[in-house]
Amino acid sequence: MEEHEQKEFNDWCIGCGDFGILRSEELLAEELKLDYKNFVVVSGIGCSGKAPHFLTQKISGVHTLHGRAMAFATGIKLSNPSLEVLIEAGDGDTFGIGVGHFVNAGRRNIDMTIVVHDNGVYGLTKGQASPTLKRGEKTKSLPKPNINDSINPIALALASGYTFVARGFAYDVNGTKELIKKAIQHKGMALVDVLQPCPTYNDINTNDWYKARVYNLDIDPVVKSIEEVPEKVNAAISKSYEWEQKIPLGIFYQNELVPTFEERLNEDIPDYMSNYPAMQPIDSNGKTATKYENLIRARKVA
Amino acid sequence: MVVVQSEDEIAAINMAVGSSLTGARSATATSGPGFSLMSEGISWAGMNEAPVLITYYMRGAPATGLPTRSGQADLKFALNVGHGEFPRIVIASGDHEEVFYDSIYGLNLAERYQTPVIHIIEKCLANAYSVLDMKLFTGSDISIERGLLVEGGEDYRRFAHSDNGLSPRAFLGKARIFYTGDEHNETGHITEESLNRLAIYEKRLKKLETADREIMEESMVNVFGDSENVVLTWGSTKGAAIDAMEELKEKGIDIEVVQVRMFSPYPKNYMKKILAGKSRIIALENNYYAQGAEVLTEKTGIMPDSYILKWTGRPVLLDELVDALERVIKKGEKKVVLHGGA
Repeated sequence: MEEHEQKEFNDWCIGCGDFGILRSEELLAEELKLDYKNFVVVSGIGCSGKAPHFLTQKISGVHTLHGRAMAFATGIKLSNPSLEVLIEAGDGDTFGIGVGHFVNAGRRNIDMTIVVHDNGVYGLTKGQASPTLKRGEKTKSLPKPNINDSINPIALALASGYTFVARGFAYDVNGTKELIKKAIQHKGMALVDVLQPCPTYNDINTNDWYKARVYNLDIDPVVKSIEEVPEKVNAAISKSYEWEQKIPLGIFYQNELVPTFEERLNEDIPDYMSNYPAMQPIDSNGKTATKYENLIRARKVA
Repeated sequence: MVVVQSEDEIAAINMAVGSSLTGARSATATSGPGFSLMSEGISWAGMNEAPVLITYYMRGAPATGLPTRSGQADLKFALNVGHGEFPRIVIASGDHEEVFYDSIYGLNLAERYQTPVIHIIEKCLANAYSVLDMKLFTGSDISIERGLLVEGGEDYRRFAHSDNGLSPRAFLGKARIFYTGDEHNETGHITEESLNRLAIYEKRLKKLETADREIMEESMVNVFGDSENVVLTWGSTKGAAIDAMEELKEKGIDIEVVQVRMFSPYPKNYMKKILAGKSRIIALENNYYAQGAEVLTEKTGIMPDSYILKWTGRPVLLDELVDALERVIKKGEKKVVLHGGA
C-alpha cells in the first residue's frame, strides 16, 4: 500500500539525537537483513516511542505505553522466540515509570535488546528532568536546579543481571550501529544506553559537551568463566561512574554463560523453541486441539 | 503453553497483550488491586484490537478490603475499566462448571471480536473446591473460534475498514504490522486527522454492536423456574438461589431465578421479555448498590422492587436467603441486608 512507501511525518526537532539512533538502526537492519518476517521493534512513550513508525526498512512496529515496552516485548518474544525483538525506549520511560520492568528483565535474561534514548530530559513534555539528569543541573525548562540524584543506567543494568551492557553516543552513528548490532547478536538481555543531546531542552549536555568527553572504553568486557563475574562486573561498574571529565563509550560487560529465559523454559518444555506458543495449533476443524479429558481425569476424586 | 510469573500486574497484562499479537492465545488473572493496575493496558488492547482474556476474581474491596474474602462490588469497574471508549466484553460465571467453559468461551469471544474480554468470578469460586460429575467435561466437543485470520504479508492493513468493524487479523512475523496506542490509520500509523478519527473510532465500537447482534441473547442469561417472583442475580449467588427455590417450594412459595451471564453486550431485549409482567423483581447481590440490577435499569429502564444484599465478604447462605425471601415475598419488605457466616 502507498501508506507504507510514503514516509511518516517525522516531528523530531532538528538536531535531535534520535535521528542518529534511527540511522544506526536502519544501517544495521540492512546489514543483518532484518524485516517484518524476523524483526519487531517495540517502543514506549516519548520522542523515542515513534521510532518504529519512522524506520524506513520493512519492519513491524509496536508502539506501546509509557514504561511498558519491555513487558509487551517480553510477551512477543516468549510467544515467538524466532523473532528478533528490539526495544526502543527513553530514559524517562525506562528508568522512571518503567524501572521495575527494566530491573526484572535482567532476572530473566531474555534474548532481546533495549536501546535507551538517554538525553536527561522528558523532551516530549517540554523538558522536565528525567531520572538520568544529574543533581544540581538546571536544564532549559527547569525553574530551579534538579534536586534528585540520577540513576546510573550501566550500574543498574549490571546489578539487575543484564548480560550485555554498552553505551553509545547518538552522533556517532557507526559506533552506535556496531554496539546495537553486537547487542542483537548477543545471546541474552542487552542494554545499549545511547547518550543523545536534546537540542531543544537540554542546554547542558550538548553535542559539544559530549564530544569533549567521550572516549572508547579500554577494558576487556567479556566474561570467559563464571569465576570472572565479580571482577568483570566491578570493573564495569567502576567505569560507569566516570562522567564529569570523561565519559566511556563501548561495551562495559558481556556474559554469555548465563542461560537465557528461553533456555530455562526449554528445560521444562523440551519442544519450546521448535513449537513455540505462536505456532501451536489451537483448534482442529473448529474443535479444541487440547486434550481436556486428560486434564479433567487428573482431578478425579472418586 | 508458557506461563510467566510477572513482576506486577502491569507487566502481566502487557505481556499477555504482546503475546496475543504473535497469534498465541493469551490470558491473565488477577483480583481487584491487580485489575486496577491493568486498566491502562486494557485500554491499549482495546485501541489496538488485541484479543486478551482477563479473569477477574473479586474480593471484598475497596483497597485491600477483605483480601481473603469474596464480593461482587467490582462489576461496574469491570464494565468501565480503562480510559476511553472501546469494546469490552464482560461475562460472569456462577459456579465451577460455568467458570471452566466460560474461560474457553471468553478466549473465543476475544479472538472473534478482537478486544479484551473480562471474565468475572469471585474469590469464593476462585479459591474453593467443588465435586462435579466428570460427564460435564467431555472435552473434545469444545468449540474453538479464532475469528477472521489472514496471512498478511507486506501490504497488510491491520485496521482495514469493514461493515461490521472486524478486520482480518494477521500476526507479527507473518505480516508487516504497526500497532500504536495513538489514534492510527488503517495501517496502524499515528494520525490525528479528523475524518480518520471519525471513521476508525466508530469501526472499533461497531465490533460491540456486531457482538450484540451475533451472540444469542438467550445464551447470556440462565432462567430457573417460572414464577411471578423473580430473583435477579449473577455470579456465585446462583447456587444459594436455586437451593432456596427448592426449599421455598416446600413452603408453598414459588420463585424464578434469573442469572445474568453476560453484562457487555447486555441481553436487553431478552431481559425485557423475561421480566415483562412479573409482579416482583428481587435483586440479590453481594454488594451495596445491587450493581447488576443497576445495569438492568440502565439498559432496559426496569427497576427491581426489592433487594437482598450482603457485603460482609461471606457468600450468601441458604438459610438466610430463604428467610430473606420469605420476608420480601410474604411481608413485602423492600430491603434485607444479610450478614450470615462466621
